[in-house]
Amino acid sequence: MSSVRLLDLFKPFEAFLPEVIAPERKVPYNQKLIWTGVSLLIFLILGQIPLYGIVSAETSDPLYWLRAMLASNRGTLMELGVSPIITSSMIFQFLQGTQLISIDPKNKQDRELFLVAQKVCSIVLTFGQALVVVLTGNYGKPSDLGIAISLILVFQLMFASFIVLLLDELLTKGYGLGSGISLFTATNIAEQIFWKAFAPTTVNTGRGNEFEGAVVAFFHLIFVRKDKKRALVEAFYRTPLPNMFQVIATIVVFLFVLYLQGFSYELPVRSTKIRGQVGTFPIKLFYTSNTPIMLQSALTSNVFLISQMLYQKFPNNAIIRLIGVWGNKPGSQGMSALSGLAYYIQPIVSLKEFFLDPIKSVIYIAFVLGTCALFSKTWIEISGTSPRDVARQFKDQGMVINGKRESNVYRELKKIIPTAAAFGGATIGALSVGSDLLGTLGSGASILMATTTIYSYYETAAKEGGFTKDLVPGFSELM
Amino acid sequence: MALNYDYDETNETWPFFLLTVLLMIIVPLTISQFYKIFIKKDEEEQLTKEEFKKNVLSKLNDKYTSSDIKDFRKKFDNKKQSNIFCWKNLIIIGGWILVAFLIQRISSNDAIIDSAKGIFDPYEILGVSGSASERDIKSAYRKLSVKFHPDKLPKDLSEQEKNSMEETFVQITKAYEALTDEAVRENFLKYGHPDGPQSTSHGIALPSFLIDSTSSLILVIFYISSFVLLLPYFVSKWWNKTKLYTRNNLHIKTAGSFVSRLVNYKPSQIATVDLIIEWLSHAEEFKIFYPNLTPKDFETLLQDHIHNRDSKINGKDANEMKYRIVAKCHTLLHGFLEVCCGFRNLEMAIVCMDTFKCIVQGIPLTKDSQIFQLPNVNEEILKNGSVDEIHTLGKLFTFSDNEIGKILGIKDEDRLQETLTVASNIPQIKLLKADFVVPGEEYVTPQSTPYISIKVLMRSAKQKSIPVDKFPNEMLQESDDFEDLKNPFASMEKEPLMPTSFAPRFPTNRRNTWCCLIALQKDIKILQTPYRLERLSLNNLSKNLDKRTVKELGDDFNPEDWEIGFIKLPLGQQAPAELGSIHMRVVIKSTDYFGADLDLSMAMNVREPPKIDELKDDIYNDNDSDVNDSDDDDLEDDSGSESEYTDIDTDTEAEEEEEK
Repeated sequence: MSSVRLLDLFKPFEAFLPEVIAPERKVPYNQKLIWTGVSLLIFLILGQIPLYGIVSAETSDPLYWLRAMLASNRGTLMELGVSPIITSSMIFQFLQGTQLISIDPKNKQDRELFLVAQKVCSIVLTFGQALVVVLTGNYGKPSDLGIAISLILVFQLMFASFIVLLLDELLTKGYGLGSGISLFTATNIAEQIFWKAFAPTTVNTGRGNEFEGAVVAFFHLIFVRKDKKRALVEAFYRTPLPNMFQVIATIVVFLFVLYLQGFSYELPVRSTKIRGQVGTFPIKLFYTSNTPIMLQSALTSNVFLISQMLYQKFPNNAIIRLIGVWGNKPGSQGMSALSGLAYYIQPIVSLKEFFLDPIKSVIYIAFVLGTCALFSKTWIEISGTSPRDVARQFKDQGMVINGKRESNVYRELKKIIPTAAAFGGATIGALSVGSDLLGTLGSGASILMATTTIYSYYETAAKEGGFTKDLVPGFSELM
Repeated sequence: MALNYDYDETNETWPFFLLTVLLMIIVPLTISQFYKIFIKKDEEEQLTKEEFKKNVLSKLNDKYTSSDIKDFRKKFDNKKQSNIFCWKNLIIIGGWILVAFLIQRISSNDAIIDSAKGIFDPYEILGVSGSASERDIKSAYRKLSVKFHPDKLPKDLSEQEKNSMEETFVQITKAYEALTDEAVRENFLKYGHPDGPQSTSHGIALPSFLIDSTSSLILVIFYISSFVLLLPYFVSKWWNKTKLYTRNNLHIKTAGSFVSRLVNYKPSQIATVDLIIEWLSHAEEFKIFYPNLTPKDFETLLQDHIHNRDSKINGKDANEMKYRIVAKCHTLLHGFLEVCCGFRNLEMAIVCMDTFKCIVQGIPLTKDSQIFQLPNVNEEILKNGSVDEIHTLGKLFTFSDNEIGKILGIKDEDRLQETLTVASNIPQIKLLKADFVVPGEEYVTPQSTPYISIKVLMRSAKQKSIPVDKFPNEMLQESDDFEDLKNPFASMEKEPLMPTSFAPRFPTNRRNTWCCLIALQKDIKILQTPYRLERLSLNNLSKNLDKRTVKELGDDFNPEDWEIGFIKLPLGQQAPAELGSIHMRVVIKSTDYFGADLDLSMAMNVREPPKIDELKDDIYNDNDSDVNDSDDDDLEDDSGSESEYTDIDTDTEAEEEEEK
């Protein structure tokens, strides 16, 4: 019972927190489209408004590898992106899955409290992160900025995150399609990929203007260079700037993931409450969607962060050196692990690297596949999609597997779900490694995320009837 | 990223950006348009041609359509099908012209050529190909260095020439080193220059004239107008449009007027075709077409159409108006039917369907409508000279061809044959079996979700009626594939579309649709929205089984030759929780033809679900198959008596009496 009291602690906040009132009637599809579009527009505008009071934002960016996934834009109101919301919802999902907080899904009061608690948590997290960002001197030293400006900065960040929180709530509560977080993240990733493919910006490093966007550069090189063959080779394989090969690899990965999305094991089910309701319960190959890869990248990035920090403090400690030795690799901007444990779990970014150190490659791939499968299997327990939960859900809805007895449901599900989860997790991991090797625009994980989100949007839109036209039959083209 | 970007001062880069963006838009557009015009169109033409060949009615329909209507079709069809000059093609053409212009501009732009020259390219300088071997490179270098070496230059050169020669020699040496020396080569590969990293500058491929003082003002105005004015305008326009029409494509005002009329409808008033036409004439859609005309005018036009009169409004020929109004009617009538079902008014729905037929065929509703929908029928002769009371096609076909000619007053032999073809190709529905089916169950249990499964034989009025018992039971069984259990209605989607109807007076080509209404027998109220049946094979109609020659179905009758139509109607409601039987009336009415309807009543018997012994279950957990088998045995006895239905289609009964 003590756990319920933990939730009750959040009760006083209920009166103060603004809340989106759930729609009373089902919102029609067109209206949903508008709500989604408007929210996205607001989010994108927030990502373009620079923060007021910044002295400089030219220090090296420690979080650059997370920016795409968290939908954040440096130096703008969207500095924090959706990270507080994601973190808070993950924490609460974890708490709920491990039964630390027990809520009764049938009790409306409980459900509301749960949401309030989640909101409070994300506001606290926003405050914390905003404070950290300002105090660590991301926008210039706090002493230079002065207390007033620092406070204004924190306030701006909190305000923006709060708007995103409300936008997400608006979309999730049924005014829009799908969830806001995934929409914002996918948009951000898609935007970056498009930028890398079509950026109009040019760089001149002594061999004339070169386009940053891969496709634009392709046309430019073909026209400008005299030797067309070498121009083609350069357009496809130039290294620091995005090249055509990466564009094609991105498209291939995108299509391949879409293809895999359709894979599912269809369990024939029958309703016992309403006789005559026969259907299928699909257990997807990507049963846990992209969660394993997100968790895996969260894990490695934290290991990197800690190892990097420790190494800078104590560069000579043997144990710390065992975890990771850091340094500047020639030809890359950021710090990268040169040896130690961190080196072996650091993503391989090119085929060349793959063949140069086969031992590392094998260890890395085994690590990614293993952790992804493991995380996937654990995640079903935490997120309430384990065989036992699904069996309970079947029972509540009066469903049985066709041709099997009610008591056998759990046994059947136990055969399929963990296998699907582990295998799906490993597949996601393999896809991520594969796309990193091919060198897609943006990391493999982010492309997977964007693709799964886009696919789920397509599914919802198809379900809501966005693609069918209600035309009268026998209706000729004439009128 | 907080860098200063240089705008493109020399027009060197922005054409490329524009070119890419243009190509990205135009290439897919062109491909899709090509596909549409050349491949899809061919397929469509093939399809329509095939149908034309297969379906005798389309040819006759074409023949009997008046030139007036054909002109009308052409006029309004052209609007949509003029593929060559639609906006999409114009965009494509304009786009390609722009691309050509850009390429021409790029290739004539000196700045681009200059910048290309400025690039350090060792192969170019040495004059060797990209795949040259080290030896070739060496020999090329030797040759060039002999020519350009400062020591070996001829003495009589001016200072300037000398300098440029020396410059060239430095370049040659650098190029040679870049290709042979390890360290320099690495520099070249990594930074693009043998001397290592050069100063980096960032630019943006936007022409600098965009940020000039005058044009920047225009740009700002453009931005403001597009985001503040145009965007909201188009969104609100789109929004209003989606709000203006209901789900059935009915204008919101029209739907409102239908609803208010049905609310104020007095049960004492008799629902007639004329009444519905009067209601239709108030539709907002007509007003949008012709704002000057009153509902009275529209009513006259519709009545003119039904009574086959030429229309005149204010002394002017109004036939085109009439056709436009009539062509819109099928949308309105489908919408009206839906509204009727919302009011659960079966009587009104049936009259609505009759109106539909009247408007499609362009004839009034009389007891002889079945005969009048045929071409060439002489009204006078039919009314005066008939020996018997002939109102149905079935009855008509009990006479010989010559007699039919006399009855209908058709003297010309060819014309008579055409009339007979039309008559024998109008589909008639013969009911074979009707059941309530619950997927995966043997019979209807409380609170299950049954659907209505009707097996019918689509036949021609000319054919001899085949009794139900001629068909073996297997042909009438419900399939129990898992796919069929999951979605019993999916199999209906696989049937072919109905062919175009014979309706020469209707301004557009139509396909026949059957609207299926389900009503409770208890209070004659409609239960749910109409189900539209658009797909059903009509192959049986061409089978030769003339009832005037075949007197008895002999041994050579093979039921496998005949296709049985499966009509599955979803029921919107669950079966009740109580046991007992519920009687329902199912009305299947054609939108296009008179006499092609079916009206039956059926009983849904709700019975106790089979008891499964729970205790036994737990013991024999793994012996599933045994238990199931015994269950099936118990149930089999019941299934036979399941279908209880009575055909109350008066037409069929009358006809069968005739045949005796």
